[in-house]
Amino acid sequence: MAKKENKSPREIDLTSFEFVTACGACHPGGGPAEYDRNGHRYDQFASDESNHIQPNGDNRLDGDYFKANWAATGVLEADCLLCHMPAYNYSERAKQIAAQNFRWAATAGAGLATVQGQVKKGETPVLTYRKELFLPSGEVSLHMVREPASEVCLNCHKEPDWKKKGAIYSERTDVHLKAGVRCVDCHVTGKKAKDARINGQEMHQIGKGDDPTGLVRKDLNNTMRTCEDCHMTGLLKAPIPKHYGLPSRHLEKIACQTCHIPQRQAKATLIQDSTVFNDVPRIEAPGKRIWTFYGPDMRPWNLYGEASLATSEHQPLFLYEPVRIWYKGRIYPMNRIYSIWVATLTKDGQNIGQPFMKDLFAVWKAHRDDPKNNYPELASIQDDNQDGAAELNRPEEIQAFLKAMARYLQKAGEDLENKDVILVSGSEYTTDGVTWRPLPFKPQPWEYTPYSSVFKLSHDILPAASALGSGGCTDCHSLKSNFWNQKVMLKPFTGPNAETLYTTNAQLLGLSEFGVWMGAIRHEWLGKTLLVVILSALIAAAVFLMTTGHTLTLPQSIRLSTTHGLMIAILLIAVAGPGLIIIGEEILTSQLVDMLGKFHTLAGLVFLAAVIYSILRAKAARSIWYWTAVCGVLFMALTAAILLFSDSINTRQIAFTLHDLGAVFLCGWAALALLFGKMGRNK
Amino acid sequence: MPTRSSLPHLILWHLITLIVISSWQTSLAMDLHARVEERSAQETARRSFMSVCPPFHLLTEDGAVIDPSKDMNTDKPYSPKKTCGRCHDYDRITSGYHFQQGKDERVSSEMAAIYPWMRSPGQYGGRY
Repeated sequence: MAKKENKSPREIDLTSFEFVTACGACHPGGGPAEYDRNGHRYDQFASDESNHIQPNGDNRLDGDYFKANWAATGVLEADCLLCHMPAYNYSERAKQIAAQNFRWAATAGAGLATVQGQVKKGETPVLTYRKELFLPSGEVSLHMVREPASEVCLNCHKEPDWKKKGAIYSERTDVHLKAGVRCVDCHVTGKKAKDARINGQEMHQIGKGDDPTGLVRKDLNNTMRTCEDCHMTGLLKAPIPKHYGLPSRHLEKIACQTCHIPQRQAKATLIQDSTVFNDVPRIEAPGKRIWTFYGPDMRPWNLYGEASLATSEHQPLFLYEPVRIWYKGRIYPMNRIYSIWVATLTKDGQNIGQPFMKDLFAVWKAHRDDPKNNYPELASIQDDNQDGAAELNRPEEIQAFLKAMARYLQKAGEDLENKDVILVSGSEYTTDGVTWRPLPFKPQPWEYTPYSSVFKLSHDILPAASALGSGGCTDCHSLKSNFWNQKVMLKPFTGPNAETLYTTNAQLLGLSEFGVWMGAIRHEWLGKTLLVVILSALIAAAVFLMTTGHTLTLPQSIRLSTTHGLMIAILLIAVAGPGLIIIGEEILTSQLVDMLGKFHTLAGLVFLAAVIYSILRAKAARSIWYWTAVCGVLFMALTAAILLFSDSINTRQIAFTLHDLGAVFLCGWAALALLFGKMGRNK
Repeated sequence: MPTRSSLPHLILWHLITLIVISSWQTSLAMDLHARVEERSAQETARRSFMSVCPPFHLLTEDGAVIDPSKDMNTDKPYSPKKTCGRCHDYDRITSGYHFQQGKDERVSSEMAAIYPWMRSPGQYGGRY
């Protein structure tokens, strides 16, 4: 966006007038479409002769009036019917805006009149009102609604969300849409909102979530209804989940979206390469040809071409799992975009600038018009990885590109003294394609770079039966699971063949390969093994009690040694906790699992105290059975302490599996001790 | 059947009725305050009961009525601000971020350092 005040035309990029012309179709009007940055209404200010505003003139290089024709076009006032009239014609409105008929756009969009003529062509639009819409009183009684249908929101949000998030917004892909839930049911506003930040009569602050790189009105983050608002209360008859078998820590550390969006079904942008020119079909705005998008499969993607033809019924199906990443203490599914672009950087490496999109386009257009004479060095840029699109990977390509850009910028009057023209890839930059340095500003843990976006995925929620975990713990805790093991792009276009470097999602989440393996073995076979061992040990305990003539009537008939007590206590704690959880994971709710876990912890603490007491109070020598079991108990206490106090995902996965391994050993040891140990059996 | 002598009375009563009804309608319109702060609890309750917009005149940017049946201002487009703003708080509504797109927000110094080209945190003059 151009500044309000500029010293030369060279400084002026997108003006307010161009913003309305180019972007107004998805802008409801009002705000910057109506008032300039000093609070004046554009058309009134331009019409006032004392302001000396010339139609389409330079107008003192004012970013709000440069080459603008506000007096003729009028402004885009906030168009209430755009949202509140179900039969509103968005394409008609867009057509009027493109024709610079700003003042007439609302009338045409509402279908109140036809509009002939274009201000853009120097014409004065002519209106023909539809008389049949008017009552004898001269008034109109229009079909208007208070709460818009979802199609209204999607009219503007659908295509960008396809690009940013791989969103489809269809009943096929989203259980909420299928259930008839509307956008406004979650993105509440006005009197319906409970949050004081957005509640009020005619307040049009629409409840929003918290996109990591969304910068507008961050003070209003998380004002929308959350999953819990409906699914913990039954609001709108939302089902209240039981989350059978799921420890509550998952619900604290993992966002609902992570499990309930196990898969995406349409591509989202992974890379935006803003350096090379692409000539694929159906890109209507010429300037957009200097953006090449790549999808999750790392293949170039004609997004604009597809978007010009496909509605949600026609979006090409593309299945993949989203990247999962930590954000504010929870794991979310996200789409992180990687950017490659040309910039300027002061030689002290501190101040970065961005050439205009039109400059980059001009360089490439000049070259394509006359490759031999105009920036011939650009011809060295090739498609080294044979994926259909050229890329900058080899040093000679990067140097050629930067040289061409620098020549153009200097010729255009850009002040490059004390500056380098650089190529930025992710969070690094280079001036020669050989040496890469970090940008002055570090990325946040969830982003590739501060210079591109990260989007949380919260829509296209699949049914509960498809959620991660619906097939058991091994949906994630498995060597075959993509949750940890899927490849995540680290850096594209490296080396002479423009290869991609990858990491794993586990690494991104801070989990080592060993940690993944430990979690996998715990759930893939250790759980079952533990169950078998516990049951076997219980059988052993029963055999022990029967063969020694003991009954289970307390306290007279059971005379157990300390060691006997130790072994039986081990078994009881294993049963009342992991044993019951493993057996009952299909029927125990998350709350019950949590309660059993707490009971297990408490019992373990009491037991530990008893063991320590027994060690200190030992009057006679104990057997090898006893001391081995004591060592096992202390090991369990240590791993349990790590689980209680550590928040590190890696440490916890390893400690948890060691704890379960310890349990297998201890229960087995207890069974053997009861069956075969000479611990002073009473006859 | 009205007689010649009763006709003037009849006309008079019709006129009085019309005046009363018009006044009542006018008083209804006068009771609706565009600005939320000026609305009484009674008006707020009545608006809530009304729930839907009554028939209304389309108005031009100058506030004049558009009426094709009387060929009034049919060469001018309607102004949502003047038309809807007669009953609704246009300024309050358009203070929403969907309308402002970041224009009403300042760029923090931290943001300005990372994105020197940013004019606002929103789509109008944002990062890209």
